Amino acid sequence: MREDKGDRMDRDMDREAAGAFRRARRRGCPFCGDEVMTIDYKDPQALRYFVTERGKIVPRRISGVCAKHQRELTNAIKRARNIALMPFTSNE
Amino acid sequence: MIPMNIAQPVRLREYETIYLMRPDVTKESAGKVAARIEEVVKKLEGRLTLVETWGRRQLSYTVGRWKRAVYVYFKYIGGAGLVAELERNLRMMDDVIKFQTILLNPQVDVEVVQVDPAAVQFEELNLPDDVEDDKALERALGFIEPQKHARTESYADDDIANISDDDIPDLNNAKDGVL
Repeated sequence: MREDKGDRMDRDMDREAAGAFRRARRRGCPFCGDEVMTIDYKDPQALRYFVTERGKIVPRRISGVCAKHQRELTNAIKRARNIALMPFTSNE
Repeated sequence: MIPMNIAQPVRLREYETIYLMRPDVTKESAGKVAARIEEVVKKLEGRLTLVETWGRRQLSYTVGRWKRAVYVYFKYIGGAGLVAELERNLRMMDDVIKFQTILLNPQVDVEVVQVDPAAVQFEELNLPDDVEDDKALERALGFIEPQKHARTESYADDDIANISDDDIPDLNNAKDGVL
């Protein structure tokens, strides 16, 4: 049975919409634009945004952080973990 | 070849250290730790630039058997060997359960640094008693009913007839100065 032309068009439009949504989510580095936002290992509340619920560091392809700031962020999170301000892992 | 007899000026660096003390640390023991740090910094010609006591905090994971710890943060300027000596001393003290030192600035001109004398005093530790509450998480998540209502009800049910006359002070026979 042949597909109706209208159905196929709807599906193509859905695919395009999904692609557009994915592209729209891509944002710049939050630290590059904002001078106020600093990376400090003594502020675990600010770092919590860049770790998963389990305590893993979020990759920069997800968070959109630039390479330079991701390096600083990783250092800060590891320092915070070392002094028990952040968890290494969490099973909760 | 570099002549060995020329004294090289000591390169000063800026560091910050955070140390964690047991949650049940007494005021006196915390004072001893602080005094030892000041002594070591002074002996090795360093200079404290900032001291902060963050108080008792929840740890993200248990350290030894502790779930909470008293955090103290301080910044200082010093030459080679000061960090090693400070950390050696911190390691020896039983009240200190963890510490971490970070290099902030690899070269500091000590003449330029302005230090507020009030900011480099270790605060006297005045914390309420640490009560281990194992049920805190369950209570926060609402798995345990708060005891408040049950208590008021039981208080209301108290039998007044059980109170004897001896429990009520006799106002007529009160000693001097009471009334």
